Amino acid sequence: MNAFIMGSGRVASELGTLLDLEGHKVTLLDFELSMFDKLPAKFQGRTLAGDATDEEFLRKAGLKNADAFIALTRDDDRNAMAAQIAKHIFGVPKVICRIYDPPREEFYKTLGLEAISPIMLFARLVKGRLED
Amino acid sequence: MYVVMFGGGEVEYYLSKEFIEGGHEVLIIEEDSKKRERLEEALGDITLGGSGCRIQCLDQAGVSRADVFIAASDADEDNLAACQLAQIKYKVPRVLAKLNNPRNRNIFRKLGIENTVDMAALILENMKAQIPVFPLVRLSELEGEDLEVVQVRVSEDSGLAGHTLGDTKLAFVAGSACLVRHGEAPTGADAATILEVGDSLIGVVARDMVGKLESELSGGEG
Repeated sequence: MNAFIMGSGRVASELGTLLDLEGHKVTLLDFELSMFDKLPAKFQGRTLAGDATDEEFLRKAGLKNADAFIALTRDDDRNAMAAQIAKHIFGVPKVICRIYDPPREEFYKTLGLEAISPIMLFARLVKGRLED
Repeated sequence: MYVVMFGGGEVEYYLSKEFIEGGHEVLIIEEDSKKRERLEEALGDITLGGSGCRIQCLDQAGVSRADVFIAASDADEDNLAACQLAQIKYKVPRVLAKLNNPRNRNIFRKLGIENTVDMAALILENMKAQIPVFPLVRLSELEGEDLEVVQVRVSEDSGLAGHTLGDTKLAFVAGSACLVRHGEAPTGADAATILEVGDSLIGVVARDMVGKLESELSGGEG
């Protein structure tokens, strides 16, 4: 799989490394290369500096050949915009975006985006455990 | 009419003032309390603290009864999110976004936000209109029609002067363009109109023709 991950935080780094170790082609995107300083040393994928909501940057990065795009920055609005660009402009088959704000997770689902709210995910998980 | 704006900068201030003077109801959503204070001092109790891309805030603003929603914050991703919410979730009939990065225009269109105002292009075209070396100035757009209103200036080196309109690259606007000649009342320009230095033609042109026309006129071939 050719996966593009937007973000350089812990989830983005962990996911990128997991996919990389499984032999997938991974590209991490964030504003500056120094943001990737905390990546695990074993990560062998590609890191690119630029604005992942910029169509031209994504084109140069080769997004049209991607199998998956995952938006994992802390900013819901940037995640939603980049995910929609990946889905509707580049036609990436699998697009997932993190949306912290639970009501907006619902909204973006109605737009056909695969949105995940970590807050709701955790709340549902805990609730599930309680019901076990 | 009820108008909700997201972002409380200079443009929104003057816009709100006009709406209020026109008897309309205005609400400005702005996170920065200093900007809110300034707006309220001048325009009264018309602001709401918060972010225009948060559902809680839009609910509080009563966006579902808004006739117009304008997203004019300094971040395009926020403006996109706010406009999509206003248009799809709250069904606001007229939604408008300010573009900070001109490159995003296409993205907004493809994601369903048709009406955008490109601030950089506006300033650029306004400046070009003041400087005579540019043969073509984009005056305005007819949204939803893919048409633009343009002004073509006939200069000495444009290659247009002395020719009839029908013999130039601009022949296709004959019959629809307006001829503005100094000291005369504006008239319709037809194929037989002889162009003079200093003339301006105001025409409505398909958007994809504008760039082509611009490069042809700069080439000076007429």
